[in-house]
Amino acid sequence: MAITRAFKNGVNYDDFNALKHPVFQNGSMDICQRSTSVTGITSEQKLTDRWSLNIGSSGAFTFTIGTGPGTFGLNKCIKLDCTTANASGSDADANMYITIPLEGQDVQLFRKGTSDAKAFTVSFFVKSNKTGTGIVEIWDRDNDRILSKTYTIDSADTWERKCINYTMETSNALDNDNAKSLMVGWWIESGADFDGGTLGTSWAGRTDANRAVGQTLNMASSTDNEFLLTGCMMVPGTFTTETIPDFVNETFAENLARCQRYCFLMKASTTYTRYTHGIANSTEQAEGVVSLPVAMRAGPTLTTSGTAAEFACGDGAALVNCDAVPIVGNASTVNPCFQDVFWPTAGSLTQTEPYALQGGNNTNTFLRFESEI
Amino acid sequence: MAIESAKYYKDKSTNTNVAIIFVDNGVTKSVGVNSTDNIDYQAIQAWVDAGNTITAAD
Repeated sequence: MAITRAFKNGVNYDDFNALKHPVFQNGSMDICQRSTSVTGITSEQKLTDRWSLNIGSSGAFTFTIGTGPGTFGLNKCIKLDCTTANASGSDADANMYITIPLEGQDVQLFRKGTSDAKAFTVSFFVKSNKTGTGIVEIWDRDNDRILSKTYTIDSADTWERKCINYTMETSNALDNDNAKSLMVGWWIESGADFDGGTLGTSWAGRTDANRAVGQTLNMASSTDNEFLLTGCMMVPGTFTTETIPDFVNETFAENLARCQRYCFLMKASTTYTRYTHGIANSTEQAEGVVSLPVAMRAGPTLTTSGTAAEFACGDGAALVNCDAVPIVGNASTVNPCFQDVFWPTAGSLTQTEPYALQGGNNTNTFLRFESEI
Repeated sequence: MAIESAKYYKDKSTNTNVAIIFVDNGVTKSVGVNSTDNIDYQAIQAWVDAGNTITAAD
């Protein structure tokens, strides 16, 4: 008999394959409904869908969609370039980490807080001009507890796959709801406030000074620095780079749909794009419903492309300019697959007549519904 | 997230508040008044708890 794989903690390859979907959404970084390029980042910033950058006192960075390693079809990545350096660690409160937040109901499989708490592995592809030690932190937001582990970038400018092993604790269960329960964060810059203690390699209440101890990547140290990340996955079981299953590439449609639970972008491709239709229920406003492609996590926030002048009420023949940007109404509490929207005007609509919500003479209008955590 | 101002939006047909229009880091956004699980809604409530006021609708 030739043993080709062995697994600890009673978790095997079949268990992993039984997962209906990867735990992380968009671990391939293929979906980016917001900006695909952002310059001058000095504070919290959304990156690819579901992934964001927490940054403070760490210079300035540019985010772009970079080229992935190609392995397993990973053709895209988060790419961060330092554009304004900050002498690493000179500011005690320097902090910088890429992170993904997860709903409690989506991480119950790890059985935190039970006698059957699972071991798990976080795996990812990383590339940087810097070699050194990075930190991947697991943050239980329900109980404000932290577990951090290190990894090493061995070769500069080379894609490397990393695997880090963790265990869930048998106490402090995660809430089984739609709120933020777990965050996974890749630390790449830190000051004494975050690395001045002892690395929290066992579950413990959050002490900031213990979160990034030993981190030496220090991405803010030079404008030569860049950090690329993709192929992120979190799986039950204890794996090495030799035994970890292949990255599971969802179809683009599957990946997009999972991201749309948190962000749904309606973007114009032409001038006067019709976003939805409704009816004037007064002379001052039309009201309609936007069908959401999937049930969003919670009633969404609506952000639009900007000014009232970019939107109009259309009756099929003429346009009445909006005097405010479109506004969401109450969210459905029964079936969150649709969202009430108002588009106000100065008061020249014909009540009970149908109207379209249209973009103006502008190809860049958008409606963005967000329900992040 | 940095809430700068917030104002209710009233449905003109029912004359009831249905949304909060708010400015976050210079960007105007809106959220339903019943979206209690929404993190922006929660941030607005924290902003109110800190002593700020949501302006009444026009």
